[in-house]
Amino acid sequence: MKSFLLGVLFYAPVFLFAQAGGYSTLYLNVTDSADHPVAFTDVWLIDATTSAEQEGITDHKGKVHFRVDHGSTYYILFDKSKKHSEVAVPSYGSLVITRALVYQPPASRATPLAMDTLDQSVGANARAGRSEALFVLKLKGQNKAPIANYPVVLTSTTYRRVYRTTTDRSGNARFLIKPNSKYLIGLEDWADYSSFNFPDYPGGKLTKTLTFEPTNVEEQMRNDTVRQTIGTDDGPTSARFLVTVQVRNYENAPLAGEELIFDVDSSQRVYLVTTDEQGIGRALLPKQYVYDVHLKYESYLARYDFRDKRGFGRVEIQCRYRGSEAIENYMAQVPRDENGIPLSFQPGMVETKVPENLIKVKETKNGFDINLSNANGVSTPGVVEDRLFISHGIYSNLFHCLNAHTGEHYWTVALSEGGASAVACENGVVLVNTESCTLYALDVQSGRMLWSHWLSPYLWTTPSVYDGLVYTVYANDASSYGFGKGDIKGFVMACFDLKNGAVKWQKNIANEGMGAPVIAGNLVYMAARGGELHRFNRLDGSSATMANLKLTAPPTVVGNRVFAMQQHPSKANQEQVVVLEASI
Amino acid sequence: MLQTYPELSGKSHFEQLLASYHVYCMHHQGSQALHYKGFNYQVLGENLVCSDPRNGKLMWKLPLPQVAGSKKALATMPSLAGDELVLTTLAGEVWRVHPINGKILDRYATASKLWSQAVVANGNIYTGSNGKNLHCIQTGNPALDGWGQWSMNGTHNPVVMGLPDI
Repeated sequence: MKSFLLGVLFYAPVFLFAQAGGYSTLYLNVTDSADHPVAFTDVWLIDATTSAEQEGITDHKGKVHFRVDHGSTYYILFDKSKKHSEVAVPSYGSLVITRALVYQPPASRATPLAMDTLDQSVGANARAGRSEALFVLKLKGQNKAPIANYPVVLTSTTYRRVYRTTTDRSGNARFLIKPNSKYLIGLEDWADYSSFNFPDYPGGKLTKTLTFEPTNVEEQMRNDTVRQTIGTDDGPTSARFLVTVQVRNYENAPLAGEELIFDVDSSQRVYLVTTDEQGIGRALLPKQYVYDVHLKYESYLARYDFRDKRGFGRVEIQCRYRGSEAIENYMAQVPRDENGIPLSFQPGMVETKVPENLIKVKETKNGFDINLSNANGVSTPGVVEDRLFISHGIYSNLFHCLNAHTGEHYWTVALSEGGASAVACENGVVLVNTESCTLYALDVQSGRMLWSHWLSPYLWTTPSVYDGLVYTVYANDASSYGFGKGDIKGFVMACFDLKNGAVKWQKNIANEGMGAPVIAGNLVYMAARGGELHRFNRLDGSSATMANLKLTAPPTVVGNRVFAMQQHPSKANQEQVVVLEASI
Repeated sequence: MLQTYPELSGKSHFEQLLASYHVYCMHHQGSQALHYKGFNYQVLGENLVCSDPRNGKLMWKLPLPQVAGSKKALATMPSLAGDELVLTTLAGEVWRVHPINGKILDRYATASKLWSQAVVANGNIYTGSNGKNLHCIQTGNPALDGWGQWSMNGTHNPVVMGLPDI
């Protein structure tokens, strides 16, 4: 029997946070015409210039990724005889490119067959039969010691078959498999940690060695919620990133007992950890996913993309937080009017910052790009004369003022929270909401905080301003907020004095706002996410009316008519124009 | 409710966009209309549409560009500057469109998906992105001005030269 060996595959125990050089990672999300993932399907990527070919297979989520060179164009094929689409990789910029592709597999493959699962126990002296092949995986730890009694999974997308076994005392996992297929090697919850091609060689043998540091973590699972307890000595592993979050209050004291929520993107799964006496929470998070990090009453502290990350990675973040108990106490004790609406608000905190190397201006063919390092989603900016106002993305609390013509830096402040809205400006004041959830009034020239109101843990609208009055919406119910609590109830439409933030009037509304309050003449309108349209006298909040019109967008008020969009009464997922009278 | 204009309808992205709970939810515009000189302009389904607000009559429609490799087409509410509509699209293109006939006057490619409305001031078009970049397109035409904030200004009522009675 002939045999052949593959070399040792060794991953350097250093994770590089940024790829250097001229390449990016292209992620393809493949769905069929019904928006279902197209799983376990061959994909070819061909360089349009060099014809160099890469082959991949979509995973069970219809995802596959490739390394691509900057400035190159690639053809994407699902059938090697036919180009499906192409992608041009910019010559600079994002290290991650994502493309959503719609591909309808041939009818014979439209419904993926269920995978056959075979549990195997192949002895050390086993030989492959005439239609089989032998694959041996040698699994070693960082210290070169064999990893014994460890589960290993092989997946053949060609034969739609899953093989399972465990390593023996020598760290060897043996499989009797069908030749002429690509196989994915699954370790822990990483289904394609590695892969190999077994040629059409019946009776053959292939040996592959992997260095792998297993994860040993205390986890309690309940449905899709995983609660972890990570010791201070625990480090990152081959399949998991170590994320350390230090939480301090506004007096810089550590906050113990705070729950950190690591929300897996595009999944119901969350990982929970609790901060220790030093205010530190640690989580070991499986790679191949994207995570949003939240506190109980503050969302989107950070976003981490651990897809395609090899080696041993760790990240650390620090954040300021009012403290869950302090928030609950405040919400319970704050003076309220007869409708249960708070009469006063706590201030936010603003610090001047120097954004070292965080803002870069690059000339482009048509003007310039302002590159905000590590940002993930840049909102609509605001321009007042020569000043441009922009937040540093949803996962940052930085807020910048730049020269609108050149991108030159004027000032930067750190707000108390991230998730800044678009801005509204009037009379030298720039107004911005944060998602968790403060309304700030800043001086246009200096960034100095003129006033601010921490309104609640939850805010998903942009403020409006007109003629010295500021309007916004906030959630007035901390008790129903938080992970696993469901929908929030109790929202307030508020009007403040632009000069000093004094409360002018506040009214309960039916639901979370949509977009921003719309001001027209002496009226202010607020479309709510339940489809309701509220209308108030904008000066004192009187003459309130509300109608549930199943709105899908904020209104536009033209003279005595209101134009809005509503759900189509008979066509699913369609909307239509509705016209209303504007006057009260 | 006075009336509906069922012929002015299209695919709703409302549930999908708001379910994302992304920062763009904080300035969700959906298919909100821009009113300019007696006509409404809005994105309905996969088209930019101009209509007569008095009767809902469709004046013209302009198909939006599709995202590469996908049939998805989406754009923000148009901005209005210098008698032109300025549109940012999910496909990454910024369009300048003639409001009378719906013709594309100019188009600019970016390397980003554009989810949020452009602001236009002093001849420059600024648009955020789903990545790390704020794009500034310098048109060289100072007449392109007057849309310095999301949804026009602090009132967020996108009406330019609206008539009191229509």
